[in-house]
Amino acid sequence: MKTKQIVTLLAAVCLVTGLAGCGGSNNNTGNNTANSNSTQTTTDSSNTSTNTTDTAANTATNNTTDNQATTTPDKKLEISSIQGTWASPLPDPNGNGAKMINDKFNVDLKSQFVPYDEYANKLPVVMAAGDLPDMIGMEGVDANFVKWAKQGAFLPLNDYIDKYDAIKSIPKSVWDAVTVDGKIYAIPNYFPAKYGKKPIIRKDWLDNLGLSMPTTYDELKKVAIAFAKNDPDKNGKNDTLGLGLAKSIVYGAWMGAEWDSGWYNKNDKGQLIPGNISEGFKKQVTLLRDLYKEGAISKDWAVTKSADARKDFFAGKTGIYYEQPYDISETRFKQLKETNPTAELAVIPPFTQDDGQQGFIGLPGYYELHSLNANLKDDPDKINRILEMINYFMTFIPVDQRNDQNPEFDWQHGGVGKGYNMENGVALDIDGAFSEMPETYLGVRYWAPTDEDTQPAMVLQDPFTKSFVQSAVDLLKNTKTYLDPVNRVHSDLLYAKVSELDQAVSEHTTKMIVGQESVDDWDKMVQEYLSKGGQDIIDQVNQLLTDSGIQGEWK
Amino acid sequence: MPIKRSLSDRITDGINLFLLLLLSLVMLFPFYYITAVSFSSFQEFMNTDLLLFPKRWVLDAYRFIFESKEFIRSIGVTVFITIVGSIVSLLLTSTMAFALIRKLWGQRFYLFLVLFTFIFGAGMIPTYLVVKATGLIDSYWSLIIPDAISAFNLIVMRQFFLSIPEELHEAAVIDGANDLQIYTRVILPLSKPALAAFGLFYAVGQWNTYFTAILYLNDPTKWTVQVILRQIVILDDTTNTLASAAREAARSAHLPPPETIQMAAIILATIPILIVYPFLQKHFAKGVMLGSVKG
Repeated sequence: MKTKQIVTLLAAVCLVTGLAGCGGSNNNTGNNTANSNSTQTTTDSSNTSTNTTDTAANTATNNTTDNQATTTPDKKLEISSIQGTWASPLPDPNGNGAKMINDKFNVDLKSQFVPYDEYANKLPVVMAAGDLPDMIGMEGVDANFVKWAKQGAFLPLNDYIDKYDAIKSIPKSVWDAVTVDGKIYAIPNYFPAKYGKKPIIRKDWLDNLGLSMPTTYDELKKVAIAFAKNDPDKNGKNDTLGLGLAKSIVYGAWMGAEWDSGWYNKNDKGQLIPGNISEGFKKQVTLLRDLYKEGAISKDWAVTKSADARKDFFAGKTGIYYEQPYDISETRFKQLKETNPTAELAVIPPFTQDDGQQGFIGLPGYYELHSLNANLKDDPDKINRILEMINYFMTFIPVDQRNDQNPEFDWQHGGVGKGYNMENGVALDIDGAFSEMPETYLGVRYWAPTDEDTQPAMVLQDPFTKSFVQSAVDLLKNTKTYLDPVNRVHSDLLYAKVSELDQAVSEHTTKMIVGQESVDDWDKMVQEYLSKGGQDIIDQVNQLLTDSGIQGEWK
Repeated sequence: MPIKRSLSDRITDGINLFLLLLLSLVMLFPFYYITAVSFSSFQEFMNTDLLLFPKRWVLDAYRFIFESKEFIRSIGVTVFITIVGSIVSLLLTSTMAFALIRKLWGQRFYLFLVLFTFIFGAGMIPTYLVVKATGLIDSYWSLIIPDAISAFNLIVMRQFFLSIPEELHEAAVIDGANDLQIYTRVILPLSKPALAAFGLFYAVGQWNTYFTAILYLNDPTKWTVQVILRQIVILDDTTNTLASAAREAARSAHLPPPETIQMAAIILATIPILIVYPFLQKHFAKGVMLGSVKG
């Protein structure tokens, strides 16, 4: 009897403390707009002494001289940030680059880097604990971003951005992505919409077999089968594949927007629908099924990692795969050319669609973003200082001026010989010298006026890679790009359900390709998708698009 | 005189032996494969479908790793927290287990508290809040103190202490020993097998410290080897969604290091803790046995 009472009591105590813990943390994120400076001092226990005095000083000056806020960096401000990174090793938070920023902007930058693998786990904990730094980096807009924005954790930036030229130049299609309920909650980083993964083909194989570049799915099928069966590399062995494919149908065989997985096609009611349940995608699946039957794609593709499929392509075993012309490493291309000296690569131009259009789906136009802590609301000095820094690093420097003659570039990259070297008139970052470059610490990219301005071929050294990239850029210059409107709205149903639904579709289509399910069952699969919540998602997304006047556009 | 064994016994033994050998091969093969790849040249790895025996054994991968200060430092950190953490854990677990075998006032209550944490965990965020409030963020102690006592180990160790005859305590008391002396001179010497077993559990746990390091340590120079290993052996898992397309495009600028280096890193992160096993093995087996029936 006694134990039972104790158990009940303890359970009650635990429940209460548990709830209180949650409540407390929610309050921290939710209300931090209200009690800005007090939370700041209590939460940042890691670096208390400097911080307390700093904040105190801030409030004092704020109260007295508010006009001083803009552009006079005569007061040292402590600015903390947290962001994810793919860099390895991680930049040293106290590296030379950070010191250079501190001197130039008169700040004390406390940056924290977390590998992206774990960032999605760490950030929510830091958020819930009310431990938020001044700047918060994220990879993209997801359910968490929208949730935190709605809860008031981030500072609305609408009133600030017009003062900064580079920030102002961000196009509306990208601002839409970081806008929640009409308020801009983040400053996105540039990433070219045009230069995502594109289908590439071994042009030398085409020539060896006397084939021409495919322009329809029928021709593509013939080419891929010939690549697998007719010894395109002339080594006398039957060791080639037509098309590289990895599990979850990565990357598939999309040759234009209509057949891709973005929201391009419409249903009978005129609503936009996700690509993977469209008739266009069905065509892709049918092709892959035929290729599988003919042995033109690997028998093991359904369990192959994309890294292995890529490895096969760059080992010269595959005829068609996907690569991008931007931000690539030369290593793989060099390797292909070494083992296959005759190799020539080309992007397959998009096929003409049923609606007459011709073009690939673009990327969202940004990658990574920075939000500001809502606590900064009463500290315009700090907001301006941060935005000034972001604006500075975002200001585009034309590619042909990125050298040691340009003082801004030189400074941003830590100086010649330290952060970068000049080779053949091109500035090349020194491997692993992240910590020498101020640029590293804000993680902001130049915002290019147009995608062509990034001139990705300019910075490459290896002639083979360079010529491939240049040919890809030239081709894409005259090709249209479809901007998927779903990137510009925030549908909670989509965030909540789509990955589960996509998973089911991916399983069905995988079975269709390997012949365990008939492609004739396509409509059944679509029905299943729609009935399990897909229709609700479609309704909501279309409603949001109509409400905000956004539609898919060709650029 | 040896026991006579029938033919069928021998056949069964033979089959068992064969199956067990097969099983051990299945388990050893990955280790062997990783070792072989780590000693091969990247060129050879790329051009061989399944590399079982490198034609040329090279140390390039290991040289690369030892030249990066990061990996070595993280091994140092891990060795430190493994040793200190195991000692702290053993000390706290054994002293508390010792206290809980005495019939004191409230003993059952404390035991109940221990059991309670065994059943209900606090969760990530509340634990983080506690760690933060105690000022442990960014300190190695945040990896050691919050997990210092495992409730399960504590209960098993208490059970082990209970199996030591009461009479030994009484004899020690008659000889004028106080509690501390009983603990150090009677209980601990008799519990070496248990200490070895639990020491191993704690050590392996500390060696594998991964997520707590990312969560509690903001300074990357303090990270443990498993975190660094994870960064070296990045899983390249692409999904076919447009949302991930930009990520992938951006990521391809940071290539994971060649497979040979990844494999060498795996070997270096595994070997030290593997070496501990043989030394503790005999105690370990005894420790497990001792909990059972005694003759």
